[in-house]
Amino acid sequence: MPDQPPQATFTFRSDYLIGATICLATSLAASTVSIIRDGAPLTAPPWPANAIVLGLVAAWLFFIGLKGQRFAPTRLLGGLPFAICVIGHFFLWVLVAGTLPASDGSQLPTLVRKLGLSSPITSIPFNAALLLFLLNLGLATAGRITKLKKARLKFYVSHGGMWLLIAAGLLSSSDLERWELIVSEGDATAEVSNADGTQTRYLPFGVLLADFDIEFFTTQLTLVDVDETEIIWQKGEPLIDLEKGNIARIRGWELEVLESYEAAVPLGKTAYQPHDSPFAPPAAHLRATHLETGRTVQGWTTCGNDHVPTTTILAEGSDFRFAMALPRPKRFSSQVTILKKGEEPFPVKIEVNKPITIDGWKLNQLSYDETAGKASRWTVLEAVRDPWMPAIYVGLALLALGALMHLIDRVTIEKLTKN
Amino acid sequence: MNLINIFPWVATVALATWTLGLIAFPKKRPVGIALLVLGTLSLGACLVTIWITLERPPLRTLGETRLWYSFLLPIAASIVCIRWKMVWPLYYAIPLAGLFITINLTNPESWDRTLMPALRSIFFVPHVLAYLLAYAFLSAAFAASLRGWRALPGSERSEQTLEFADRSVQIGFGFLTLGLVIGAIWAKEAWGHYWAWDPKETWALLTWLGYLAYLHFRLQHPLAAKPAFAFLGAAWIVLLLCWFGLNMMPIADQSVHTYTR
Ligand code: HEM
Repeated sequence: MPDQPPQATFTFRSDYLIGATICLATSLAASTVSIIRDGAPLTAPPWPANAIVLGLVAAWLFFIGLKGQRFAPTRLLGGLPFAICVIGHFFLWVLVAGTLPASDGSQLPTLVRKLGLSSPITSIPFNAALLLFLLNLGLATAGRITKLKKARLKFYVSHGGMWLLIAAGLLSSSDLERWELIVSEGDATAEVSNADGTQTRYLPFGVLLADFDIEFFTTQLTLVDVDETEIIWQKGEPLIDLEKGNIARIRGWELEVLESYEAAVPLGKTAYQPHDSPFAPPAAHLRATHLETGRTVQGWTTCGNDHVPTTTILAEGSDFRFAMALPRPKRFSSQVTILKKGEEPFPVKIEVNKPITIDGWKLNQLSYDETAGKASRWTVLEAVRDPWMPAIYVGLALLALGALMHLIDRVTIEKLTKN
Repeated sequence: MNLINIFPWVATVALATWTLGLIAFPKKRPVGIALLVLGTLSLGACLVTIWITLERPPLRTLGETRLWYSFLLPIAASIVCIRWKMVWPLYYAIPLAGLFITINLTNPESWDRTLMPALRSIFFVPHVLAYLLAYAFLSAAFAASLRGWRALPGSERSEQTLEFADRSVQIGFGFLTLGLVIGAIWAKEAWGHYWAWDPKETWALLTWLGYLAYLHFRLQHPLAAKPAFAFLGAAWIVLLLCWFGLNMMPIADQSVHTYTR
């Protein structure tokens, strides 16, 4: 195609060829190293070494940006053909990692484990691909320093932000701390452990759980087979709230909810009565009428728990039973008191999506005693310390700003079509 | 709950008005525009109804996201069309939106009210909407590429199509980036870390990388129309895999983000 002048085509071709070769060689070298090291995870140097590395690399890039543009290799490594190569190369590694199940890696093929792909962030070939990405991005950004006037602000914002984001993300992984904190109601602790419980440490403050609180959605109807072994409700069928007074139709039956209790205990063999124990499951009294035959069935259903058995209602003449689905949590939160030496204890509430920050530690609501449900007497919090967060947030903000600038700016495209 | 059951009717009305609108458009432009707007607005009204009835943003299930998409795609295409004075993209974008509505009609929803605690966040709506807007613009670009693929390289038609595609990708990629950034900040709040290499995140990144490569490819090869159209097709497949395919892949079980039920 006569798209480019012949000479230009040739230059691009060789740029692509060199770019692809560099990517391939990097992948092969990194994979070899990873296999020799038997898939040992790669960890970034800890503070302050990582900050020094980041500073040195940035300074080096700045220098190259000022002085290096005369040299063909720096122009190539900071150029567009190489950008396309490194983006494609990184894409392939993400694709490989993305189609593998993310797990501890034990049931994965040996090669996958040796390449460390079940945990991309510590995998050597994966990080090598990211480094090429960073190299190109860094050189492209730095290379424009001498052409400051011509370069547009949005280029710096998006590319510089991206560079900062990835560089800080890669280097900060060693300084990130994530611990689980488990505490029962009425107890206090400062001890936290990692997810598999093999390591522990102490936070600089104590956490006392005053109250764990959980709220559920109104329970819903489900259908189970006659033997109560399987849920046979299917997507597309209505989800019926078991709320008193609710009338709905499902599979040819009209269902009326005569009574519904959030917490109930059996009263004799055929009825339930409300109860305020946290161990009482929800229960509902239903009447179902078959729309064609007029047959009516009536009874109580409960999803049950460790203390109360499940009950369902046989839809006579049909091959299923009406049952109550397990309640789904709507929100859960921990009312805790933070205990710090020499300070008044202060109460705070930690909820999913509403973490709190104390002394550089972020406390997130993570989980609770799921088998006990609303009777849960303990809570699982996550304590996160991430000193690089400001750098990451600046990177994210620049990237978002760059995206907005590209979104509203028409210059690029106009330039494009003029070409 | 009953109001929600009007969905099949609204969808049918939208499909009918869109069809009539596209037919009327060339001869009686005002009538055509009125019909297209009517169809799109009825979907918008349906979304509002569902939102109110379910007492949560209807952005959770696959079907719900398809509905938004069908609403947003004609709008996205119209924005680009009005801004750059084109008409033909509507003839590609609206049938595509119609296809997604039809998928919804053949896959009835259960309209679940529940919303898990992790989704109860101020980031939920902006995050998913940014993605759906991105999908709408990027799909408009894909629809255009179908036209461009058949056009003679270098012809007026080919260039016009490429221009539309580029503008759509430019806007779509902006939203894609916003969605990614909002998602990262949200993950930090909800799960303690920005990025967990969760399958959904990984595929969102792949989609982003695909269009990133397209953007830079276009900068490098402004005249290579055919490869650009092919590129758009490939990138759109990655987008679809991220949006729908993931639920069918074996890794889906491990994703905290797959749209359920
Ligand atoms: C938010 C993401 C990004 C956006 C919106 C974006 C957009 C752009 C645009 C519009 C240009 C042309 C600049 C101009 O002519 O003013 C450009 C150039 C370039 N971009 Fe990106 N880009 C992004 C990320 C990246 C990444 C991740 C890489 C590398 C891996 C990269 C590498 C390059 C290179 C090498 C150039 C050419 C620079 C030059 O010729 O001086 N970009 N990009």
